[in-house]
Amino acid sequence: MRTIEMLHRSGVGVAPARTIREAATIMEHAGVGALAVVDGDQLVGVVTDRDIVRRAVARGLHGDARIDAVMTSPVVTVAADDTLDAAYALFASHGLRRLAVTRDGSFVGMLTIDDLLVSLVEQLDALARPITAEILFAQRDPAVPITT
Amino acid sequence: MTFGPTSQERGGRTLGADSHEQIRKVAAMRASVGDRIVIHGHRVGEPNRDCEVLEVQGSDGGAPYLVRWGDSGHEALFFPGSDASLEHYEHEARGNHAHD
Repeated sequence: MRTIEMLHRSGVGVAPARTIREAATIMEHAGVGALAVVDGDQLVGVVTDRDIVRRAVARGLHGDARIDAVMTSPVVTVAADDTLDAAYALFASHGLRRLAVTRDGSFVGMLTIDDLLVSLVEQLDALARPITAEILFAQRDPAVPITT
Repeated sequence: MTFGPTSQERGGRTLGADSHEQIRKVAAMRASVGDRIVIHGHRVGEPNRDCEVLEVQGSDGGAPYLVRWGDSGHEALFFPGSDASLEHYEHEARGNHAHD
């Protein structure tokens, strides 16, 4: 499976000059926890709700400051056509919760660790379902005829 | 022309044969200024949201789109995913209407 196939949500981004307050408002209204910071066609950073709390609010940064003051850059990315194994490796090695997915260098969406967890649970559910059915509903083989 | 998640995708996260088709459609999505993009809810009971395309910023006419959210009026860059569908409106050139 490719990483692009795991993207279930549209991506949302802002220009680097948007304010921290605007970015937080956009996150709230779009229902996302991370924004891509995009300058033209270039993905220049990623900012999360956690970044805003820790790098802006906790440090007393004004809400009118630029969002690129608190974004993470450079960005760890995975290509849209890379396999999930590549994504797993990046999540693990960088300790990330979100991974920017790119195609030809341009941002296409945000892959979250939640997406992977839900997919894993669904796969486990599919494995467990027939076993559960076997436990809950006793299976009896038809009586084998006795031949003499 | 609309692109959108199948009913299977709306109801759950398991994607079957439709997923490749949906990804292809999203990759081919070409919105125009004034078009409406609908973002379908991800959970049961979650309402759909929509936004209006204000600007097409992709170098090849694709994403990102500068959009204005219909419910809040906020503007942001939007990168359509498999939860988005496009409602394209034909835009008539000015002066094409006959005046009485």
